[in-house]
Amino acid sequence: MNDHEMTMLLERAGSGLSPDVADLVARGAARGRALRRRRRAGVAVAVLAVAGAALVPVLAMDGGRPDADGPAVPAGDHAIVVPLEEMGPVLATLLPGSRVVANPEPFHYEIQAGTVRWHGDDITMSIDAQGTNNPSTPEFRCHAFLQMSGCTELADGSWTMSHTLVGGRVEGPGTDLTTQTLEVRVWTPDGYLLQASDATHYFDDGTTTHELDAERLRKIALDEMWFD
Amino acid sequence: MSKDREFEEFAVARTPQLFRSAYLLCGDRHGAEDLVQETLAKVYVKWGRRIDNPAAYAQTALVRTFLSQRRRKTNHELPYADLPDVASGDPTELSDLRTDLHRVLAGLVPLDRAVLVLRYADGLPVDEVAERLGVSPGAVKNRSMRALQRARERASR
Repeated sequence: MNDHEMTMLLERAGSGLSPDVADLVARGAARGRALRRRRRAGVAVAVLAVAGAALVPVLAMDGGRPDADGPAVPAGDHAIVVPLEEMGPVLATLLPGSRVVANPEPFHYEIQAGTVRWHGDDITMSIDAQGTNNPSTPEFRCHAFLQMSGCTELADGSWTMSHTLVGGRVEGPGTDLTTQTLEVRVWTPDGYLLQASDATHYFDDGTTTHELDAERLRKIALDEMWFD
Repeated sequence: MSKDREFEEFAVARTPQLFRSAYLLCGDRHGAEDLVQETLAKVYVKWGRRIDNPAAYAQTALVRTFLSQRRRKTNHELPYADLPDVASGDPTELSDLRTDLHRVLAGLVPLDRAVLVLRYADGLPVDEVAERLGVSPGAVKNRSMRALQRARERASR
């Protein structure tokens, strides 16, 4: 194969592609906004760290205590960088080929979630910040969840478990669809509860075909896109 | 015009070309979509600052992101994916084409694939390919020659 033949081959193989340009641009921009926020948050943390280092001698001299009446913020605390309205679009960037279904209305202001449809399954990611001021350990919170077993510790000190739920729902006018949801929960040391789930059709014979297994759901839940 | 609007106009105009290159590098649509999104995200972050040539910047970001992704995903070489879906044209011809491309690019390391795509699909001169990939012009020539040799061997099997 010579230069000309290679050029012809690549030109022909790359022709006739019809990418969904609008979708790619929207997802790329959503991912870019998340990336920019994460970088800005990183800069802010670095500035605070420098300022904090400068304050320490002053506090030591006058016996002061930072934010004595405020909530304790553990070291290594993370901040969510994806706002509620972008939970779905950012989740979609992690699952190429998916489309945003909804950002479900949270039932608590400290919970945010997004759902995409991917190969027929509904994939949902949610972040629950209600526990960020809870002194309980992630191990305790994992074991306390419906008293279920199967909790394991991750390398960063988070605790995780997975479980399935079978439940009916109505999708569209008069259409009953029984679903099985495979859900992975991760309790982080700084108090967040991360949930990633895959809801799929539950067949009469008890079989299901989840597109994502627990390990891939866990990776989505722990993806660096969500936090600074 | 807002920066977001300017970025969107640029991205809409450049995405077909970026997608074509991404498809040739990755060998499958999903991989190409992911690569284009990550590239656009990086361009978005830089948008509004001084970028002399946004189109060249985006194309360079695409190739470097591809190489970075491959390094992250595995320490050993990934086989070139099947080329599943081209939108138009004669099915038989396209099927033959997919087979040809798969045969030619299978087994090439990611950097060699990047060299081939930049040189023969994008038509860039050796010096520019070298600059974009951060290697010497001599390395580009050697890799091109080696990749063509391997392609020739595979095409003749």
